[in-house]
Amino acid sequence: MTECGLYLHIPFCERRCTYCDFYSNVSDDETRQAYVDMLCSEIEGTAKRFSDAEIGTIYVGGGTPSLLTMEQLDRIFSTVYKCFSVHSKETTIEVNPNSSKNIDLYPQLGIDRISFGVQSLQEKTLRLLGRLHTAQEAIEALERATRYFQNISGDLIIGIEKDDDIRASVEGLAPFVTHISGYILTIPPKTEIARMVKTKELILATDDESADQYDLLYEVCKEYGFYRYETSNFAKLGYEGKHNGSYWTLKPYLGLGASAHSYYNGIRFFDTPDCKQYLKGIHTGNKKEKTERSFSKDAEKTEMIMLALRTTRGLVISEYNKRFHADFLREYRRGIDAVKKYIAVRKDRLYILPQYFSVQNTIITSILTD
Amino acid sequence: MNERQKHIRNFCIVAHIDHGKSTLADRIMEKTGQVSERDMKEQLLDSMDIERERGITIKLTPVRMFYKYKGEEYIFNLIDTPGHVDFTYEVSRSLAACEGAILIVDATQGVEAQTLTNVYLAIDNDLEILPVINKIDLPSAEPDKVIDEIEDVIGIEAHSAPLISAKEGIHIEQVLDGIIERLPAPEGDENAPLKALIFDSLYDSYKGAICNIRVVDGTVKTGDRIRFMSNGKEFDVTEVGVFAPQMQPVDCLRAGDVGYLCASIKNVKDTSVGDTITNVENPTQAPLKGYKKVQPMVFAGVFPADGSKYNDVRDALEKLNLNDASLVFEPENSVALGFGFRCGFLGLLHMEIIEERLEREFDLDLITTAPSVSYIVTKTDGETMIVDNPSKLPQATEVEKIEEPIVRAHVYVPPEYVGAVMELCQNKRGVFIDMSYLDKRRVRIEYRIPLSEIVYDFFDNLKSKTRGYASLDYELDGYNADDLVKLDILLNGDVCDALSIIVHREQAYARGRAIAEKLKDVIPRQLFEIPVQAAIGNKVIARETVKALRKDVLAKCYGGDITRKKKLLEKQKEGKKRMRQIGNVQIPSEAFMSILKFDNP
Repeated sequence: MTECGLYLHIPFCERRCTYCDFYSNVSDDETRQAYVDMLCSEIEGTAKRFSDAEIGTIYVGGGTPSLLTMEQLDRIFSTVYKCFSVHSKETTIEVNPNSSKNIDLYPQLGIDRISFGVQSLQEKTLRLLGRLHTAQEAIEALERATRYFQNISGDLIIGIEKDDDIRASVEGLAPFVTHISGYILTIPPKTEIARMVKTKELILATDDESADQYDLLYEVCKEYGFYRYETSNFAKLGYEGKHNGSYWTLKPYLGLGASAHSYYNGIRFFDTPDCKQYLKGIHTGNKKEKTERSFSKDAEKTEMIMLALRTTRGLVISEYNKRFHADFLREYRRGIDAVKKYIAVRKDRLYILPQYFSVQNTIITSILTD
Repeated sequence: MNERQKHIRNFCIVAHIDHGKSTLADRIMEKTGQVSERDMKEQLLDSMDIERERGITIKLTPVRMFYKYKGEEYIFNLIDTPGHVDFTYEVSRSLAACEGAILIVDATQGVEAQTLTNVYLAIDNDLEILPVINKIDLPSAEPDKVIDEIEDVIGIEAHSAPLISAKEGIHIEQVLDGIIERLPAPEGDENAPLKALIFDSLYDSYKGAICNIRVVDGTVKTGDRIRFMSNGKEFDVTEVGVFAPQMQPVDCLRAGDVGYLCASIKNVKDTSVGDTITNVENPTQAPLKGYKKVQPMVFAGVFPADGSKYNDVRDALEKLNLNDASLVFEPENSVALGFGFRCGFLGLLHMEIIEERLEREFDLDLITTAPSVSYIVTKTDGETMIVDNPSKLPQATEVEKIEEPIVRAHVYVPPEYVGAVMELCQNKRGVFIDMSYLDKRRVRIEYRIPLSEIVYDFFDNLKSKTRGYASLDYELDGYNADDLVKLDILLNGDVCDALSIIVHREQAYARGRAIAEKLKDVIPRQLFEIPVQAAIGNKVIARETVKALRKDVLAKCYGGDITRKKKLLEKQKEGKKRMRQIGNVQIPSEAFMSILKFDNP
């Protein structure tokens, strides 16, 4: 058996957020139902194709999965449990504070972790991001979630405006969550927020100000007992995200639904990002649309290094050496030497020093190319 | 002079840029039926893209034509001349191959700096001048005024000058008749020992170096053993011919003829422009006057942006060198830029042309360092050395004196800008020589100015301070010692050799500050803070800081989609390839050229 993660993508939202260029749609009931049907048949097909897969974690993301009705979610989960061998150590669903009325029923589906798209607890920031909930609504939803779940994560976005109160957002979240994801805003082209930046409706924090906010996020999280285990992820001890963990460690995962990415048997592939195409069923159960093969050993090495160095654990040198029959420290001696001030090599691990996490691309590039 | 010679006219056309030289040349060829209009574009217009884009001629392309005048057939040899101050010597040799010159003056513009330079060159070479007033079809044409100007300024009779429009084909016959009536036939004795002037040479991969020649005395034919008088090298002639306008072999070239000669010459460097060819069996006593070895005036390092392309750059330079003997280069090794070449050019335009050709024709990505002139350095131990690379300048303590090349610059400008021009020349360490009013609208100002100032930003400044009205030419006029120092640029404490320049001590502070500021903007932020310093010896005179990078883009790997992160990393890797490493500092290629480009103070 191959233990792997299962990701299910639900590409629907009540409204598109200003910063979002992930695959999501504002939809009607009919489309949603058709999508669920298609997803279920994809689950069936995939389970047949990868019959050796044993599901170790499940993650339902989006979009806004909590827009689906209980019946729809039930159908999806039932199909998963029916078709796959499932021994889930963690089953997460993403929820928006304003569409969280069914969360009391989620445990019945086997869901044991909620990831809240809070993004901020500042009203002004929430409006800039185009979120549909207020800070108060978010707090209320979080509070309610604690009655049914022990493991709750809250997302925050930083690096928006320079006077954004990061401390207040973390302090607001802290009593209710076991995990915080903090992302620095990137401005994807052609999004609403890109337009706002262009017209100066939004004066974006400078890179230095964003870096200050990231440092502050790190500090405040630490104060409240959330330690950073990955670039954007902070958790109470023992509450690190298990599903996402498989991304950084090159463990296999299957992603189903429009635009979902998979990594299985060393091959990366993904579904069409176009919902209409997806609904035509072209890819259902037969996800052969491999747009990205895994390719050369070198590319795989690059992936392993770049993903591992996102984590505070860093790269486990012996794992690398075993996987590639190589000697990591010798292979990248020059690059490692070039950035030796910014990294540490302790025992079997190489990791980026905490204060340099925000410049990791530069460091990783140096290791790989110098 | 025999009958044959009486029916030959060898001439060139001199003009300011845009006054209509190429157009008139085309018209003359059309009228003599030399080429069909259709072929004209391909064959006659300047062949190199860069020339065409800049509207200037660099390579000389002679053409032979036939014209019937009063029932007799005449041979015209039109020798084209390059039109830029960088190529003055080559112009002078082309002129020496002619007996006459057509002087075109734009009826709307009058006499310009370049016109004068070339006319004086023509007069110096004893050429007869046929003035022609062009663009008379334009509403703003003032032919009478221009005729007076030619007579006043140049001192030649111009009242019988044909009034033409080359573009519209008006009065072109008057020009053709004028060529026969006013320009002399070539003299020279075809029975005397051979004396032929090389006025251009080019390389052909089958025929070897091809010399464009004017036979002054004697004859030359296939099979002759010839000698180049400047270097004594001997060759057997394999082919002689004329330009019809494509190369057409003939039996023999005689005194007065213009044509080409091939002799299995492997290296175009053996065929210097201005050299005299003679016959080995029956040599002439003395070579033609006026030969001089062309010296490069401006030097710069040329490096491949991608260090592994060194051999490609060398091959490309060698290929260009086949046709352009005035380009010189030797390997250079820079700490900052790795292996490349120190190249010498006739001037800045020549340098730009070579750079552009390397990039376009050979698809190379280059880093070029700031151009430098060639200094004569006398060391304290009495030894003198030529330094054309600032990084090769000895330690200040070992230097007794540094002499720099000085040019005599002539600026032609309307009277209202005299003050601005003089101020500029003064600021550029110029020494005033002379000023004269050519007419009410034009003043000629003469200064001695260090060549390095001209190379730096003089021309751009001149243009902006005179709203484009000024024109400039200059010639080398010896060397002067001055208080010159090497200005080094230190990045994170390490000297970046490719950024060093030699400047006058008084300008060092301003230049140092400007370069440091510029580099601060051009160098991307890195993991650590980078001091950018300008220093003379150990003394730091300017400092800026590139702050440490605080954040790079942290793409999230949402839903297992790591492609964004990978793309970012790939982009970063690509960007890095275009960087050069000085110590542990990454410098983008454009930094090396950017120190040259400043806004006018």
